[in-house]
Amino acid sequence: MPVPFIERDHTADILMHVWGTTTEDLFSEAAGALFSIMFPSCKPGDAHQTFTLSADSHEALLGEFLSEILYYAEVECEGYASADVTIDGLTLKARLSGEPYDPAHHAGGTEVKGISRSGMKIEKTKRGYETDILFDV
Amino acid sequence: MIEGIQKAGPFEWEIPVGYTRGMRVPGRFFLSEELMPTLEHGALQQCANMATLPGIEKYALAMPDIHWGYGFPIGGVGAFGMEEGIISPGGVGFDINCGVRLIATPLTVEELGRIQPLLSHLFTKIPTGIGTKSPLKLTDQDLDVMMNEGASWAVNQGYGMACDITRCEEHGSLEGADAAHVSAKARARGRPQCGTLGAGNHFLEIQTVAEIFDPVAADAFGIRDGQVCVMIHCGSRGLGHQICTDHIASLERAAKKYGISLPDPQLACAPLTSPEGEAYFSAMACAANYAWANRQMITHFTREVLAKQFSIDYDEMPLIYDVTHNVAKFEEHMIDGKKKKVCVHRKGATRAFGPGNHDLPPGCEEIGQPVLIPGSMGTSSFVLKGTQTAMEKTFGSTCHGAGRVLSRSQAKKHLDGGEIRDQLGLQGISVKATSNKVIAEEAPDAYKSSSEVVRVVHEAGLSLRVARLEPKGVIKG
Repeated sequence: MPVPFIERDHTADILMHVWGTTTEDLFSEAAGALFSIMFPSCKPGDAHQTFTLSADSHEALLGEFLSEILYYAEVECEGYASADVTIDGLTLKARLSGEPYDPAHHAGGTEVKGISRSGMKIEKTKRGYETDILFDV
Repeated sequence: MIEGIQKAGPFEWEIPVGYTRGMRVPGRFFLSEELMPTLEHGALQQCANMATLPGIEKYALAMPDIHWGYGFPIGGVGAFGMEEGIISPGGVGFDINCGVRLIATPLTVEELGRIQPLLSHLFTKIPTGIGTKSPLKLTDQDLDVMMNEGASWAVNQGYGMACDITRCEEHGSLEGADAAHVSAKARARGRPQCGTLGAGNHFLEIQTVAEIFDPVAADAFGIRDGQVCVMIHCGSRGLGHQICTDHIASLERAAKKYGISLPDPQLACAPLTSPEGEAYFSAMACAANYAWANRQMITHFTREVLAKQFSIDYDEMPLIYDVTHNVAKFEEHMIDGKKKKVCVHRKGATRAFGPGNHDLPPGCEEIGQPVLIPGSMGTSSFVLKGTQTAMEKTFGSTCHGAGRVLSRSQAKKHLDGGEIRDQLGLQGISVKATSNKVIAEEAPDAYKSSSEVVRVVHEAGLSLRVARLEPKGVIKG
């Protein structure tokens, strides 16, 4: 199955174009793009996190969702491989799945410092919803 | 040549008002003809976007390492007046007070001997890469004092010497830090990471002084030909990243509240005098101080390794200087003949105060501030001195490094980390990294020539060459 995100050229950071058939898919695939940068060798496993977030717009919600993943990955020392997302209005519930991060086995990813709001605009298109996401690395 | 820009001097270019809607002042950037092909539309647009922000003084500036980032371009400098001006995390970045310091040693390259064992000891001693933790267990109270005091906190804990503090920009501590504006999440990320190098473009490099351009300044800075030095490049780790994330959300709401139109959501901002703007500044200052304490701890770990391996004393390894690359700070500058307090944002730019200014280290009062410019992996780094020209043209600012020309994905596609490691080895440069991928991403070919970037700031008078250092060994996360 083709990966629902592609990397676009950006000099300083990592720019991903992501799409999904629904906004929930889009958010889930955006998380997948983040996992591909940070945790290319992590698999779904025993490490789980669930959280709920609200924001003023879908773009702000997407930025906060991905930032929340960075937070949990760092404080819980976990590497994730999948995210289940449900969205009701501007409130999101997410469940992350992955494994404890072990530098000896999982090295090779790139640390993401933050999720930039530059150029993030969720648009409705023929294939669903799409946006660019700029990951500061 | 990109359309719409005008030449304003031998190395100076202007982006006129009107290049993008809402510009309040022109943009100005510094670049040689040789570097012009590296200039990207996106970077130019971001420089123009800076010029739309309320209270910006004189020019939206960019240094010759300008490249496309988010919010401000990398290499961007903007000064904002206290009454009309704003403060924005888009002018600072996620890695608050990412910066560089240079430590002298009494060793020569011959005395250094084989470098691989030294790199292995440093790699073991200094936590490096994703997921590594500090050997120190900080309480929340410890973290409060660290965020308030910066490098002094680390020295008081036994990580360094009192004289180190006088060799840091702002004495390694920004005034106005208030831990009340630092979230529980930022604290949770910061507590286990103090004294860690991090990943990505952060590094520790063993260098030798290969060329002295200005013997008087080099002597004042404590640099001599053939000397081994250690350069450390890192920032405020997850604490700074989280503070930026937290405050972008609140400043985006604040921008709407104060009726500020944003050409880029990452330029979220608030008036300097607003509660939201003050909250961001005091939290950002906490992260800046954390970063200074962090670099101070890594300095101590480095001295421990060198002292043990070469039987040298700590006081034979003085700090030459420490500069910040990503920060917003209150400074006084002469604007249209009047001294004015402004909030200077430097995002991928270095302060370069000229002779006679305040906050110069002892012995440098008549020389100017030491400026440290790291090269890319495998290329020269430079020590420069600040100038009066920088005070007049760029709010006392200069470049911060080489500046990327190749995206990380292109670098990984076209460059092989293992081959680069071998090539660098043939040049006498050893690399110890967590993976070959990080070597490819940070390869010399992914960056502009540091020598050319430094030539531009030297010729433009923004800072003057003092010494060139060559890499001998590097550790990367």
